[in-house]
Amino acid sequence: MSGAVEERLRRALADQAETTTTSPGAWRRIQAGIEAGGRVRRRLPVQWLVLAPVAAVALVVVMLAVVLNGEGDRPLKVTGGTDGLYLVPTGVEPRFRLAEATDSAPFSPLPAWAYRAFGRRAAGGAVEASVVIIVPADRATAGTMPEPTPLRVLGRDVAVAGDSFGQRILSWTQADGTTVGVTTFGLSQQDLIAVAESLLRDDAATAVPALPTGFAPLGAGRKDGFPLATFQRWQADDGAMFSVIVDRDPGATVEELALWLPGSRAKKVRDTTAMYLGGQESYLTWVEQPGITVTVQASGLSEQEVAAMARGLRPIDDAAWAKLVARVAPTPIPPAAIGLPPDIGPPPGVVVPDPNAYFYIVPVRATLAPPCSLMRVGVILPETVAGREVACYQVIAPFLSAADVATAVAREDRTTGTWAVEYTLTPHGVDRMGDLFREVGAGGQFAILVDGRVVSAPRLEALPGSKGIVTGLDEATARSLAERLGR
Amino acid sequence: MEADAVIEEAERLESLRDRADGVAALYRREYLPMVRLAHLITGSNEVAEDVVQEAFVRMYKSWDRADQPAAYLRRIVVNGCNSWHRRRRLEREHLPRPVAEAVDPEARELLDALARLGLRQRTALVLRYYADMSEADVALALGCRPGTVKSLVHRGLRQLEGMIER
Repeated sequence: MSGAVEERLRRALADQAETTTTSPGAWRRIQAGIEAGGRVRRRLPVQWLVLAPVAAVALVVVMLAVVLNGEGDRPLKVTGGTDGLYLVPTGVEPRFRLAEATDSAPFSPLPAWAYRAFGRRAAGGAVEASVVIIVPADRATAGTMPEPTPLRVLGRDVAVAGDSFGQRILSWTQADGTTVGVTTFGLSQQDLIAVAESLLRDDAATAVPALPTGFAPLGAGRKDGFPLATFQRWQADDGAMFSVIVDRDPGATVEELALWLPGSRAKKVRDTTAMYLGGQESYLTWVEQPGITVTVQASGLSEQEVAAMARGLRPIDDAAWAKLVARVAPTPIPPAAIGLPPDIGPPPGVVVPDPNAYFYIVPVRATLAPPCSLMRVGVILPETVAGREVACYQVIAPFLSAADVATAVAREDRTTGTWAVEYTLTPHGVDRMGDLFREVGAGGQFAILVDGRVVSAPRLEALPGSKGIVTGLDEATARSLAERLGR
Repeated sequence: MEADAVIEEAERLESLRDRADGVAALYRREYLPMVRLAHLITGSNEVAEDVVQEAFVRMYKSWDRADQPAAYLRRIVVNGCNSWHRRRRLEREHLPRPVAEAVDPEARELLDALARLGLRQRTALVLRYYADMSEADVALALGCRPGTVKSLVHRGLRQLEGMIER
């Protein structure tokens, strides 16, 4: 009997619950109640003003920073101290662990720097390619880019760092000891080198760079210098990672931040965050407080994860967001179209290596950071290790081939357990090698291709004679190469 | 010394901000379900809204004590219904209100009967058969032992049976 009553009661209660209505002003009344209770959110700005003179700058940074304490999934918690300041996003899955955390000494001044930005706009108005010249270049090289690779331009060493969605940063030291940085986006390899060549002079700070057609000035400014307040890198076992970078950046605007990452899609995250996405890599950057910018750079994360991370941080102001969107992303640009100039083929005089040939020695013009697929100009040879691109070599003609080799023999290197092929060049080959060496200069780089793959890319300090060696092979490759070359 | 004060203040501001965000999120998710629950317990939609709004204000104040905000909120709502009931009894002798909104005459009979039960019994039955809560959870919400819930529910059902059979 009571089973029947239970059932009827269940149904009657469910029906009755459906008749419940709510009045429209409910949340306002709750807020009013909260405020009347003495814990008033509106009081916060006043508190802020009272405290500001105590340590205005410290407060701004401290508000942003969160102590780590080994518990990454705690809600935002603020602290600071002699150990430095940390920022922990709350939206991050527990699979991430802190891999690296560095702080520059709080508020130690860097030299002031100036920048000039040039860009080319797509039909929709978004910046699709840009060149930003920075003197000195600390802003460009401060920890956000992978290890730079050296590039030899007009006999000088230029460091090149890049990311997977087309940003390339060049930097070098001037005669007066200052560093020049050039942040580029969407430039072809040729244009990149042309820009660098035109700026490799002592008046780089004011010189007009050799810009590709369609470029116009976007803006210029001056910064008084700031430290990188904190930098953290978080890593997951599946290789996904993200970095959180907090900069003290007086006078930074959302529009200015957009200059460093042009051509990308801007997205709204939470209320006010600017989100830039390009392929595997995502950037989020925003002005957190006047004078403070936050950047989240992630790779291998889904868009949702990056958005969740941003929600765990703090928002920027709505008006700034609206301005950013109006300027940066009138229409979304599909990722594939970002920063890829049309393939215009190799420059005149460059001979493309025959993919069917099994042995080449190729002089290298520049070594660049992967991915090589983003470099659409000239002949780019990728070097892969375990299927992953580790370097991209830009080739200059001409090159030596198997026809220039007289004899070859395979040998095991007992100290490393790898195999090598020692070869001697024909008299014609020796002459060719001399020509190539003169072209690239001492310290010049050559790539050695076996069966279409770059197996090594040594630098040559002195003119080699007729003898040479290919190292780092496995036994089968070494024996087969020696046999074919010795024929 | 000053730096410590600044950090402390920053911590306080941050926690207030978290709290306000948390209460807002809870409101979006739980406001209507809680009003329904309070409606069933008090028998009045209007009273239910007042009780739940007060509960959210209290929720904001004691946010740091709430490990599971939804369960904590439910407890505040149930307590709120209880206080409303007490207040009302002080004002004038409580008479069970007829439940006007229910459509089905059989359901109305049952709900009228429910309204005539004591508050604790009524609350226990609503939590058990409307909110589908376990006896342990009902005990938590009522602030009593699970054994008490068992007897409240059992006797409540028996009384309902007796009333509707008459």
